[in-house]
Amino acid sequence: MFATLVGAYPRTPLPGQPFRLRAAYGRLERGEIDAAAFRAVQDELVRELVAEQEAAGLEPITDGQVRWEDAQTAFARGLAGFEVTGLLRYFDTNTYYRQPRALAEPRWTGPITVEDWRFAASCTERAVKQCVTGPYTLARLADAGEIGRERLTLALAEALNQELRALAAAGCPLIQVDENAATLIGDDAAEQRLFREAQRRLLDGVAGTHLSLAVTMGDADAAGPATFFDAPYASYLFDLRAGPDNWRLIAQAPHERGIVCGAVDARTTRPEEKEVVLWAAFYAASTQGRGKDRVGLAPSTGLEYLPRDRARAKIELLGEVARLAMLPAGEELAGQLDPRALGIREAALGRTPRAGDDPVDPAVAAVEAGEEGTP
Amino acid sequence: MNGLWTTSVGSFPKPPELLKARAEHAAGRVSDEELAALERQATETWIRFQESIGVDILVDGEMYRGDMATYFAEELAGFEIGGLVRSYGNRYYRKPIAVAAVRRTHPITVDAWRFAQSLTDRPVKGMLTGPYTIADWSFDEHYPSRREFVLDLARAIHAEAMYLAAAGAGFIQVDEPAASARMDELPLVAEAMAIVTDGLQAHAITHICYGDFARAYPAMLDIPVDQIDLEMSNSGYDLLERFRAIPFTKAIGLGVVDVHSHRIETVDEAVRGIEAALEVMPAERIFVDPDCGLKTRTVEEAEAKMRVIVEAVRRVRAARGIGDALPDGRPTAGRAQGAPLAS
Repeated sequence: MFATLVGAYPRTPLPGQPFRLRAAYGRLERGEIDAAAFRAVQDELVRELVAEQEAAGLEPITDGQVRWEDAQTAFARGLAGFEVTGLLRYFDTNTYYRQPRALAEPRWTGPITVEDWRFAASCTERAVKQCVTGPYTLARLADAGEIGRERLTLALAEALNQELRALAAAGCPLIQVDENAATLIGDDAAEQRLFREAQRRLLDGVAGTHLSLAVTMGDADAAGPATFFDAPYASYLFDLRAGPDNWRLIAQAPHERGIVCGAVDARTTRPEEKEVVLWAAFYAASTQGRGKDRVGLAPSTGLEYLPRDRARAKIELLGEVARLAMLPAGEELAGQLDPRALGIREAALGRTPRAGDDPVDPAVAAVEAGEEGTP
Repeated sequence: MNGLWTTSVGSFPKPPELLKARAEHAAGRVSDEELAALERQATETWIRFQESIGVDILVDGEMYRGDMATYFAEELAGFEIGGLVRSYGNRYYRKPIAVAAVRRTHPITVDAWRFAQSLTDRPVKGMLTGPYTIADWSFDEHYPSRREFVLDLARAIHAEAMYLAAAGAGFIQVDEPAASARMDELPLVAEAMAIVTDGLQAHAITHICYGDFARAYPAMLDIPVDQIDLEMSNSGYDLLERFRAIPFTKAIGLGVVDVHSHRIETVDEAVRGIEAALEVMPAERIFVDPDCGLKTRTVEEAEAKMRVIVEAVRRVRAARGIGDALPDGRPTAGRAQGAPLAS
């Protein structure tokens, strides 16, 4: 059991701290500092965020995607063949991205994320994963122009295949492909085929690294399990808050595939109940006899939608629950949870049974055991 | 025939001295009175600018507001203001958190509107943020459902709208940029707007932007307002094609300049947008403006874009013999759900 970010983390400061990144960006815009000086400020922020994840007990770590203008633009600017145009809303959030417009079939002309991954990896002894926006999502959120979306999707898959190969060659131990637009596939057979073919071309020949697929921002269940599990991903991260039906996909995921439960709501400041998150981890572990070793915990999507202090509280909870999940069942675990999560009697009493408590009446025990019923 | 009235979506950029004063005020180094004086001065500057170039329906430019949702949350009971979150690129705002039942305890925008209107004989729009957008752009730690949150906000914004109308505002805009984000919640947007505009004796407008208009149309016509203001230039006027098949039954606010680009559009470009709209709608149902608030541009860029709009309208009016007599700022027959306006 482990805990990890989906990818993004707030680039804003903790309360009372100076917002150095925003100030540096202002100075960059005004021509008062150069790109190298701005990158140094980003480097410092990455170090800080890596340390914050370490302190919360997360692994693998990410760089918080704090260098990305947004998840589309980061790749559209890195590939040849795009121009970047007007702002569009990212799914149903109040965060916006600049829409890439395809001018030609995209081409990979060199590594896009490798240097950023190398820097983050140099900040920690823990494993650092690199996120790559997937070809289906990039194409779906782009203006495909005269190229057409199908051709654009497949060309992107081939271009990004080289990015994945470059990351693997650099030693990146875990590459996460983010395909949030998979939530838009639904029961459309042609879209399902396009998604599968894109994943086939994307992953072709990529070896020596753990490949993971992340789908957040809604339900992807209608696309069916084959759409996702035909691809040779080693693990899958699903949003279980905006997309509770994704549990159906998890239930059908082959037992040897890892599952990362996006169980902590990344889009609300409401405090989480660790019992619910723990339940999610245990349930995912139980599906197909998967076991705890193949299950991780994560926010439901990138945490950048939250203020920094709230995001930190969420990852601290994730780290704590991942630790609890590895405790043997029994009093030690029970003592660290709300007792009402442990059974009907505890729920009624609002506490954990202790030595000296009244013995359970056999009739109540029968009710709890489901022995009573209509004649 | 009169029509093609020029206006703005709401915000203008704050002059550098006001931006500096707002930062100093936040740090406690500038008093409330000093800041208010600078806000009034900047408001007057924008009113005079709009008059000078010939804008028909003016705005106060929102010199006293930061983020459009956070501003109202700061003034309503039941909210606390949370930390910064990113909007796009390197733009951030403080996102409110509903921690108790939301209530309006005092007029929020009425004094600012009265001040702006006192500076001009032309109509000044009352500017409100809609209940759905305030709710959607806030965190909620209080309400059991989004609907209850939105409808409580609708009652608060309705009270504010009624005060504006009573003060004399003939045009009241209730911005709902979040409305096009979730198609399944468009009925909730309409339900909340019905509360906001209930009994409102003014031309009611809503502004929607940066969403999936293709999917939101024609359902957006169910929002009970007289006019829907849409960002059209940024999306290449795509939606106009849909209007051929399914007529747009309300007045439109036609965005003809991109507010997130430094480039100043040519007058010819804006004219082409207006002419395209005139192919599917009559001039008396078209209000011409930028795609969205201009506050993210520099003062010079915002002024240049407004000049482009006014000049483009002047050319089209002259070419087609369209007059510029102002509309009366009263409710139309089209406010009711889906009811077509006479063309």
